[in-house]
Amino acid sequence: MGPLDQDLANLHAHALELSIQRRAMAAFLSGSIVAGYGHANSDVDLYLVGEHLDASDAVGEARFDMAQPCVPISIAYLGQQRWDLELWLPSQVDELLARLPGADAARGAHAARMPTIDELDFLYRLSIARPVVGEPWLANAQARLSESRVGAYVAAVWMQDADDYVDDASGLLLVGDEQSAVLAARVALGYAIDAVCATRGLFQPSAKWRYRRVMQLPGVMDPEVYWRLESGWPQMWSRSADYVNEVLDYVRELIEETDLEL
Amino acid sequence: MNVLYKRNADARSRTISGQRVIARQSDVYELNETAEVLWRAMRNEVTMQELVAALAAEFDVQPAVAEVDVQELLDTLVSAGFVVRSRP
Repeated sequence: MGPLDQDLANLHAHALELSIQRRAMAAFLSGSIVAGYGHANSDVDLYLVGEHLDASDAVGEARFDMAQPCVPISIAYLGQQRWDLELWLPSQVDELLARLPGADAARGAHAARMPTIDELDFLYRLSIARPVVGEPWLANAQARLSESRVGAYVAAVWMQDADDYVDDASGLLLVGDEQSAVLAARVALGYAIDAVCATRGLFQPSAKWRYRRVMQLPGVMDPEVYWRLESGWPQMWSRSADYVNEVLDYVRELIEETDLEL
Repeated sequence: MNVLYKRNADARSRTISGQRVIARQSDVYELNETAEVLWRAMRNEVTMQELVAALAAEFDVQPAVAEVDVQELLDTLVSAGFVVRSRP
């Protein structure tokens, strides 16, 4: 048992207790700890699913464009550790899964709706979730997710975004606006990296975990190359234009060589 | 003076299920292996002779044979706007 499994085993007992207290039909742990990105101040993210969850102590809500848009959020503490509890209805999860783009959408054969950042975040968390109760429900939801083409679809959209910023950065260089070109190139780099990760199922939209995602894909991208471009400016280039052109060449190559596997 | 060839900056290039596809405005082309080698070479400005050499090296064909393929592809891609010609 590795350190991550040990951490999760320690969390599981408390998660199970909370799930029973709230009468959840399914519950799962997810978020940075489950992804292996946990740190000293990480919260524990527990997702409870059920028809009659007690939300009387909710401190806020997440809102989604759904028939029932509100997902109540409660907070609990185990010692000093904060637990964020999201209280989902089964129909809300069903609704998000039913919207996932299929193969036709990924090929552009019919229009599909790009999931919002919050939806993508939830779907990614669902994809890596560890069950607490209701394991068959979670397995079914994860199967629906993996059968969809959400990763390829999101990658295709983000590649288009990267291309647009490459065009912007190139145009900005031509008119001598080097500062804006640097910023546009960096945005393009972010989209390109995220797109490559999405083709491998890592469609989590959070920028702060980008380096971690690259590290999870050995042989796909070189973390040193990525990190040099992400963090080396302005120390490692004497001219803005040289930096921008190197970033744009890298972005173009990533976009072109990454197989969307539609 | 040698003519230089380079991809048009507004051309989009993707790999979809192993197939290289390029798109510009409403035109979409699927590239065969020969075209893919040339397309890759045209990330930077290159001469006709450099393209012929790249193709001959990749597929072990005589330069005279490669030249015919290169010229044919350049005619197509330049006329469709995927590749731009310039003089140094």
